[in-house]
Amino acid sequence: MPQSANPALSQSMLSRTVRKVAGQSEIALFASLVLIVIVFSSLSEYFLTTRNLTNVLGQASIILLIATGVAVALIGGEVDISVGSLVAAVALPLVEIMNATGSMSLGILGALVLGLIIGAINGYLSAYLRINSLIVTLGMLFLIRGGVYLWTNKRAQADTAYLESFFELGNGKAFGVMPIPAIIAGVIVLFVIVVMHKTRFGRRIYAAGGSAEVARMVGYDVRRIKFFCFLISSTLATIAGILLASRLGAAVHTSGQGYEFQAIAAVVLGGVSLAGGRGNILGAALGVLILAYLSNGLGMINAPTEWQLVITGIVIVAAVSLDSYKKSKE
Amino acid sequence: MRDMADDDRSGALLRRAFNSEYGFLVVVLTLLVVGLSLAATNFLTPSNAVAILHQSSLVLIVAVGMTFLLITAEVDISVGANLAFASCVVMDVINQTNSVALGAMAGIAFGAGVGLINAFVTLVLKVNSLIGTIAMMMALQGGVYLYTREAVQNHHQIEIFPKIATGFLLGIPVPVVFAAVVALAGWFYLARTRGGRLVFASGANEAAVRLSGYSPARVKFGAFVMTGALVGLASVVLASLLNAGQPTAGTGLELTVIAAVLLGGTSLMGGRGTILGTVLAVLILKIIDNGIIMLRWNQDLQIIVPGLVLILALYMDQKKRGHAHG
Amino acid sequence: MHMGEADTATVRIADFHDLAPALTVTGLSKSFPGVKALDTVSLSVRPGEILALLGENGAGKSTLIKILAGIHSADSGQIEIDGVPQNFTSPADALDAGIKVVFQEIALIPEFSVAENMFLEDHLVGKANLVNWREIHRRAQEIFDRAGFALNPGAKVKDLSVSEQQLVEISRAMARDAKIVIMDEPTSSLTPAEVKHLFGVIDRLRDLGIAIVYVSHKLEEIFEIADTCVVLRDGRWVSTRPTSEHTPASLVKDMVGREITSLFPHTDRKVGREIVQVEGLCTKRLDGISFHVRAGEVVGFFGLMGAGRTEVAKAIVGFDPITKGRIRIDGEDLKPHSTVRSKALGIGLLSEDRKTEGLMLDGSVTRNMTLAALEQFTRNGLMDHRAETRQAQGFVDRFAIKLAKLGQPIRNLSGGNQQKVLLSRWLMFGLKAVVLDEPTRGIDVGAKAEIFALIDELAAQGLAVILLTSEMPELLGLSDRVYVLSEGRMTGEFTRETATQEEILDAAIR
Repeated sequence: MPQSANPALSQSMLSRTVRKVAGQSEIALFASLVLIVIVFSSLSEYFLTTRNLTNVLGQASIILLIATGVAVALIGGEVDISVGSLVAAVALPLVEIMNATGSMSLGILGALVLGLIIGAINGYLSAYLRINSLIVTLGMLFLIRGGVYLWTNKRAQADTAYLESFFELGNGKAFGVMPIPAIIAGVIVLFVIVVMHKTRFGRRIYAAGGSAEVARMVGYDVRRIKFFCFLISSTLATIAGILLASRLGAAVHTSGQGYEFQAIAAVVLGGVSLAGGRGNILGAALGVLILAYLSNGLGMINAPTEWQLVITGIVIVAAVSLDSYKKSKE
Repeated sequence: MRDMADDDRSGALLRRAFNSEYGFLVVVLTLLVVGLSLAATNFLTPSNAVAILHQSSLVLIVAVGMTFLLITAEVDISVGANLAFASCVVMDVINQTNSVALGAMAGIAFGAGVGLINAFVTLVLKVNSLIGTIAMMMALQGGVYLYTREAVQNHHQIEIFPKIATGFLLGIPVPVVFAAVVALAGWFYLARTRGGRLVFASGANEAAVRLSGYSPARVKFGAFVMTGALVGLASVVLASLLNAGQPTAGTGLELTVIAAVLLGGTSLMGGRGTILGTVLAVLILKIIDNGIIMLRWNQDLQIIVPGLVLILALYMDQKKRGHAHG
Repeated sequence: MHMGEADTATVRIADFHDLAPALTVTGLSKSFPGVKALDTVSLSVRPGEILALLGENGAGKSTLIKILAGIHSADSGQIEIDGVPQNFTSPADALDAGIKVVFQEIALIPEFSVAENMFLEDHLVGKANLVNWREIHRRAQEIFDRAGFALNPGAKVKDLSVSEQQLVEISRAMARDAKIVIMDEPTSSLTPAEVKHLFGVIDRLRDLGIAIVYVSHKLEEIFEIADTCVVLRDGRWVSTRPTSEHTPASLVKDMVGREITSLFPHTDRKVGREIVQVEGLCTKRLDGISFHVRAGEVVGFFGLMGAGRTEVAKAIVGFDPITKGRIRIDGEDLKPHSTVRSKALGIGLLSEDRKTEGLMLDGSVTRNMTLAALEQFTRNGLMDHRAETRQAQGFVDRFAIKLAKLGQPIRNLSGGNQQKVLLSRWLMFGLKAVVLDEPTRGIDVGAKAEIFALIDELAAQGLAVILLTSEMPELLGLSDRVYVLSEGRMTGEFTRETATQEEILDAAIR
């Protein structure tokens, strides 16, 4: 059917933008999120309070950042399950440098450098040496975690610098209401959304992930694109690790365990395909929020924490199987 | 795919071992054993060898199942959580019935039940097995605490119970006997039976198997349930070893097992794999663990080394193969 | 589709013969390990000329095209465009130089929109180097309007039909001012109406002064559209002559190197009882199909892309579910509706898609061959490897399957030999009825003849053979009876005597 020749005439700017960025499935996800909010608001009087809703955002911002990175990697046709261990690892240079120099900037710099190095190793092995990225990042998951244990002798490294700014990073609230980590995560995720949708580089990630052969023929440097996907995923996980360390007040050697799987489940729920080339960051973010608010809501109605895990599992299965079913009907 | 029908049967076993996919593993194993015997005086002793075999047993029991699954191009991430839950069930049932046999059967049944649900989610609901078993893992991690607030202690004090983990059968530790039987049965099934042939085929080309008049779904179903049941068996050993049903046990088991199976030569894409490779890989990983202790290195290295070994092994394998792994 | 009659600015190139060539290939050679794919091949194409490149599978056509596309590099020889020597190191170079190849496998990104695919090499950017989607859509629409294509810039490529995807590819060529457009088997997935459209498009390209190389083995099309025919055989150039100087026989003779008498053996067969009986078969895409096949018969099913041939095949062997209908094999109902049951009743399918539905690529030839007959080699649940090898060797000898050894991975065999192995798979089991879906797809003429002989032999032995094909000569040469499908319905039934190409095609487009 022929496209309207003059789009400005037919729709408002806002709906056009929304339609460009969000598709049918994102609307469905958003609707599910709203549904969850409605259901739990009616079940618990504490759920629909500004305090609670924003608290969840604060807590979820860590997984949100990690999931965004995992989503970028998946869209690029690769997978990064080393992110959980990375979260723990980058907290080490962060905290130790801060303790030694009293400078948060230096600490953050140190963390970012370590994150980039790990991302570069993952990227080099997966994209250039063409070792299956699941295996590479599985191996790195072990390696990094072991490294963390070795370095710390299995003891958490407490933050002894007590920098106000560092504390605010993970625990502060803008205007007394919106948690800083949520703002940081929100801004970063928005940035990634723009990159994936509005930059050449982002579009090439989709191409490299979904149709690597065609991408190569058209002249894309597929290996370089995939390499950068790993840098992106580890940088985002690094930021998550920094925020987590701030909230914990320490570099905890066991932190981040299981985060990689939570992230994968959330982004798949959000419509990102395990095969690559499909899905978007908005959907992934909605997936994270759905699971976060679901968990929180269950807690609010005093469902034992164990039930949260069980229900989360069921929800993921239900959503993905529904999606499979829909796809088979196409 | 290893096609034993067509290898020259009269050829030397040694020549075949070297040229085969195990060659690399055997070499690594030999180097490790030789190196460690020279470097650590206590390494090459019967008691140490027994300890290594002991430690390998639990992982190997589960890894045999995972090998079957990966050959059919599926995976089960819930094995660790399954192990913990099942071990609680085992101890609980023994406490309540005073029968080790019933407890063991309950554990195995539980594990198999989890495998059955995994099969249902993957084959009927058509959820990717990676995602589906991650979800199951979450559900089990939560569910175990609904079942028991804390570790299930040994209230029955049946004499024979600790012997499962520490006892000997004809001079061989009981867990090793279990593992050996499981591995042998697994190898035999894959290498010699029609069912085993279908396991490989289902992973290699599902549609071709269906068109040829078989049901790959049935094969995969069996692999899931078998893996679950083996986890149940391992949980009996674990419960005996810890003398309790520990809900926190088994974290990370899934990754160790998958690492071992991949190291052993099974392909992520399905259609290829061997039990012998898995056995060798488990031994390699456990010998490395053991060596780290013998050499009095920092124990945390135990987590690093498998990761390194896995990447190196697959890198070399992929170079040999000439094209990217999957 | 409108031909752009409103566009008055084009100059029709009526006679290209005096023009300098747009593309000249001189002495091109290329070897791969173990095979010399091209041996000093030369040709030239002038602006506005349509040159047909012909040859069997393995003649070197696809190697030549890939070199021109910048995917491979030649070992020796020269490529000139407008007289300027070229050196391609990548597909991007070839595109920049003005060569656009439209492959059989569409080189578009399925998840991207049509408009985005137009600008893959260089997304149009606006402020702050951000992708300017509005401009991309606008420019794409402009190109389509100019070319007269009814394409929706916003549609995802994966939602388009094959012919629409081809139009997108051709638009890409026009957008980048291609001087030479090479089309590789462009009509294999098109309906006759779409083929007509495509020829109109090619005419337009010709009018714009583009040199066109058209690769096809469909001789009827060559005679309709090509000005010149270049024939390759075994990697060497054989002939370059105006199409007007050829007859179909002379073309085939150049391609094959010998007179082809009868490709289609047809022994007199005794026809037996009804083996396959289908009544009122309905699926998601089929509407009330009924037919029967008797022992010793070869029944051909013809239909265009999407007519439902493969759906019928997969439905009657229980591979795909059905909503209504009765299927009986040798008198017994196919209930439960599964491949396990259909195999037990004695019917099996050789799928048209060898790679994804037939072969275990990393498996050995033996294992691939015995897949359907595992029970024969099972004693007490154990596999008898020696018996397997013996049986497999028997079929290898019987069908002259070329291989190094039985244990080698089947991916190394040629298409024709792979197909023989897959056919042996069913023969080893022993069927009463066999369904062959495009059995000679991707196989060269020599091996095709062997497969035809095999099909004839199967029928002579009393099998009921169902042959699904889109190749008219094959259909007419082999079938005792023909059913025609169109858009999920059965629209025609013919016998060997009453079947003519025109009537069959007519039924196929109803």
